[in-house]
Amino acid sequence: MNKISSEARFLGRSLERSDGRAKAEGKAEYLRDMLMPEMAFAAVIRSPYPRAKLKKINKHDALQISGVIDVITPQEVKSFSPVSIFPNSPKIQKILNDTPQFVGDAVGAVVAETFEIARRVADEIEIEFEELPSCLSIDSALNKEVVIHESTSDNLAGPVISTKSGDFESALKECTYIFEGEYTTQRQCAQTIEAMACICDWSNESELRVWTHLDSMFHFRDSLAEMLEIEPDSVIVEPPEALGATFGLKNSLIASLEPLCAILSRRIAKPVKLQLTPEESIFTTVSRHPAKIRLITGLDENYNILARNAEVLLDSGAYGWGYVVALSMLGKWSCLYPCANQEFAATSVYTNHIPGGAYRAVGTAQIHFAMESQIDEICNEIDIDPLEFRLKNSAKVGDELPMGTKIRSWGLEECLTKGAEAFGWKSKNSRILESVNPPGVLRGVGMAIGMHHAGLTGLIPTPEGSKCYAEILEDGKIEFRVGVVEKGQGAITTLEIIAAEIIDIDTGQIKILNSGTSSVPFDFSGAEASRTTYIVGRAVADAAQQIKKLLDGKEGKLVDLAGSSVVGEFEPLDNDPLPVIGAHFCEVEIDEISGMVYVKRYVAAQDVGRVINLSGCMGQIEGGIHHGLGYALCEELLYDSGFPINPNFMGYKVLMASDMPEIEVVLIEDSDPDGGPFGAKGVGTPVMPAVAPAVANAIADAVGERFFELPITPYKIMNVLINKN
Amino acid sequence: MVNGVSHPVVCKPFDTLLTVLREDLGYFGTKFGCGIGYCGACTVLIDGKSAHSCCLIATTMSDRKISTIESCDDDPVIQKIQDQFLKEGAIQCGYCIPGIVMTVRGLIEESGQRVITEEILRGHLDGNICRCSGYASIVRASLKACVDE
Repeated sequence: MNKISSEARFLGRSLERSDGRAKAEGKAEYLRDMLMPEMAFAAVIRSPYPRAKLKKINKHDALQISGVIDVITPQEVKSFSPVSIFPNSPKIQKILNDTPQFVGDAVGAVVAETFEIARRVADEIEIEFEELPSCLSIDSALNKEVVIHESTSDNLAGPVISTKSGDFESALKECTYIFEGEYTTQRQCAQTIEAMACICDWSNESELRVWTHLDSMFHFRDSLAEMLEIEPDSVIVEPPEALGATFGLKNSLIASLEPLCAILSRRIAKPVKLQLTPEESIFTTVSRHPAKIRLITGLDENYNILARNAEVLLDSGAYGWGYVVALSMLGKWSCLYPCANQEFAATSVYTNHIPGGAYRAVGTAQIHFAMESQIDEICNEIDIDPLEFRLKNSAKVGDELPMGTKIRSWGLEECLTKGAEAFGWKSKNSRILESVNPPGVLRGVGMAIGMHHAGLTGLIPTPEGSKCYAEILEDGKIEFRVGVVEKGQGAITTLEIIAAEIIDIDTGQIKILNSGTSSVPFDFSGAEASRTTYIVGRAVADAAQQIKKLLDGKEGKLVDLAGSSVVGEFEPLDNDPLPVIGAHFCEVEIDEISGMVYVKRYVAAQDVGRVINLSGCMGQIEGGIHHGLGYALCEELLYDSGFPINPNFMGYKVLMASDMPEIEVVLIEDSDPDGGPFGAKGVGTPVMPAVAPAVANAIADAVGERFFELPITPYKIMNVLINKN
Repeated sequence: MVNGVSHPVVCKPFDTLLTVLREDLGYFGTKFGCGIGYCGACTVLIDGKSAHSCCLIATTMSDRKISTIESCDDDPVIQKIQDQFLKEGAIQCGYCIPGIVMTVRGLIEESGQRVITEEILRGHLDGNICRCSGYASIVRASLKACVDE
């Protein structure tokens, strides 16, 4: 294991981010602030029904309204191909849909001189629908009561994902202890503070310029080109100067955003801005796929895991891709607790709800709630310390990941011991808090571990690798061009430190440029899947090492080498993405009268491999815990008969400053020499999976009963407490 | 009066202060977040007190002293808050930050000589949502800025 060497000049310290000052002073320009000469404004006409047939839009009358420039209906976009989000996923989502499949599905758009006119006309346009029977649960989708998309008569959202090793059925018969449980997770929204928007300028037919919220400029460029049937080179995708964070929500295009906006811009030959309202940004984009997870785990008399089974049902909403979520689940479920006899099967169905999509820790958030809740239940029943059980039964260095890569670095033991020490978790007996509960308050402690990955190699079929062009400029600064998006996570600062540390020059001498698809090298996945530090970082490190060689010890002579350039590259050789692990501990207090849960203390021990930028790393972990606690306690986009009932900031509760516990972050640096630069791993996403189960386990400890459904709201707690008394 | 300058504005009767600040006067540092007074991205100071400008009617503001994030050039207290935010790494995507800085500025103004505890600070920040930071670094930075004052 490598510790931070004392010679490191920048590693492990906090570097002020270069875009921080402009943001703090309100001078950074976000998409919401961007205006262009001649720009027109668009608003989407949306379905008010979960499923319907569009009968008529009175386009003629709308066009007569002063300020309206154009109105577009589904008939006018037929020549464009539908959207396929991942390779091999069904092409079902159209840009505009005459058979809308969820409340908020796009059926048309209005372009006007101002946003207000466009929005008002889109809301008030005379429109006729025939409501169709809808499919609002996983069960009714499986029963094929309604066939949602003609091309998928079984309502399955992609292939069923199933794997088998050993003989689960026979092994289960040998087990002394068998645990079975069904866990349900909800529809969680990223709820970004900046509502989603995009600007497209296709006024010149040979060039489409796009500014939008995004994780990856090249993924967006190629998808748009394919959909609009034009050459990728004629699409230029540029990140705005500053981007409101999206937490994975924009890992893919949204059919009724970028493609629609592009088409509108071509039709009127002017730049068009499509600005969603905060409400639209919640209920018409994508949400985390809800899941029902049935787990069976069998142990022998010595508490070794002999047999495991997982049956997963995923609600993909109208156009989601639950099968990819299932692959992500499988990647962690199958190797976190290795066992010779295991079976996994996941079925994903379409329903007439908001499409499922990406959001921090796709799949792993859901499966960890189930898996780590059950492990806690097992530990309670057989009366063993949850730390001890995990140390005995979970993955170790040398174990195989799903595609055969051996785990090289795995700081679990250190996460568990150091995290437990920081929390004061000495043994299973310390689960009962020493001091007496105040009257009316139930207290409990819980812990869980969480595994995620950095990078996208492996089960999900996405090209992985990155390039970096570096050039020594005339003033002696070094410019690194990379295809990564800075959406707040601190990519630029991290890459600056990596380059400066290797070349051994001041970070002020390093310029990281990520200014759009026409000026940076190809990188398909951008800032998805916590891959920036690992994958893009390695490409930057490669370029930096070449520059170091060019300098040959003459750092002062950078100006003499002006004009020299190198190309850095990295393609991972592993068949699996880099595994990342953490152990989380928390203490809760529950008010017996209201059922309110107060998380009092939270310790997150996270193996980051190597800290690059300390404040950036802490920020990602503390922020991840905020999303995880919300997932555990309150965040849920609720539907009643297919209608979203809380799609706004008032109804969709996220945690505020005084709801958040005191957080202690324990950084573990079990570095992987073949991982990211200096042995770094990933940090943004891997924080998420352990949070909800750690909280759920603490609540179970406090109440004395387990909760199988997220979020664990005061209402659900009161139901249990009332029945108990 | 915005940031010490009087602006004659012709607006619709129910235009919000936020709309007028951004669209008529070009103060884009004040952000539009939720539009219903929950997220605090639009926080400005009205006579020294923080308020959500998306929920105020512009026409009622004619006699009030309004400060936006753009007033930082002339306000050393705001600069001190910003410096601490930068040092602590409290800025990630940054969309909520101008609003949060103004909330903290308002708290310092309101508190006068009273000590600002973490509890008071967190309570005061409950009108601002940050989705990136989990508030931890924001609270650390703000407390340092408050102590300094």
